[in-house]
Amino acid sequence: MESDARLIAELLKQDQNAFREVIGRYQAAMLSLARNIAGSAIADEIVQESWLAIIKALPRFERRSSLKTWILRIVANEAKTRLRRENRYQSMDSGDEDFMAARFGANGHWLTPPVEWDPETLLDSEDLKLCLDKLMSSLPGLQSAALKLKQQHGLASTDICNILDVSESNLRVLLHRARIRLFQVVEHFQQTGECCE
Amino acid sequence: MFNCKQLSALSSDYLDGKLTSRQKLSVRFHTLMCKYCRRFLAQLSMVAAFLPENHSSDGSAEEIESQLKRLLSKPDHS
Repeated sequence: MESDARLIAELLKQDQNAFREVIGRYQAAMLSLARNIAGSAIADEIVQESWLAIIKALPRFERRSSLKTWILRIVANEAKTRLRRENRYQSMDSGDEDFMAARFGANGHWLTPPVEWDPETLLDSEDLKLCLDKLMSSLPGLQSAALKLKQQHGLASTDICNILDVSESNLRVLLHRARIRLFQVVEHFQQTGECCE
Repeated sequence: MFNCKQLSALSSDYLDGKLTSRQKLSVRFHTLMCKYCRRFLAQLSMVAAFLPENHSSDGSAEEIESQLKRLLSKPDHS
């Protein structure tokens, strides 16, 4: 946070090295988030728009969150605005189906229990990575973004809620749905060696 | 005590430590007796490990410079 304060002060003075530093630190995370929410095709444009918004808003940054969280929140907003404009935005309510329901009997016990996995083989499989890549780009944007921020960036739930502008309980639903879809793809791959259709 | 279906609905919250102590205890009791739920929880906790890493790590010096140029060339950046 201390380095945030120094960086912000230098950015406000339009210091080029500060710009270099902030780009080096956050550009990759920004691109990844934009890609997850809105898709690869327009991720780069969203990041460009976000940078302009960031620079404009910087004097009003209130330091209630870290600089990273604040920056990523701006990216998420830009991405959502863009999706809304293109009528591609899926709100929290869409896709409410329980993907696992069919696997249990009326008594709530497993009807189709999970098959055993061979993690070593799965981890080494390039084909599985392709299947999961495909899945991540087909998931509703907020689901894949929530999962990435949690699992790969290791952010705390409160930061993820702040970035994606969702409640804690919404975040729990997003993470659960995303993990269940991943589980299904991995299980299908374990059984057939192929992606789900 | 949960049945398997109820446990599966709470599985992600369990992994993220979002359950009450009472719920956590119920999950643990259940998984002691149910190998399928034990397997399911173990698998769900490892799925993220199979995700491909982000291709873009830290930006290269070149990328940083070109981004900087683009930023500073915008007339409305201040």
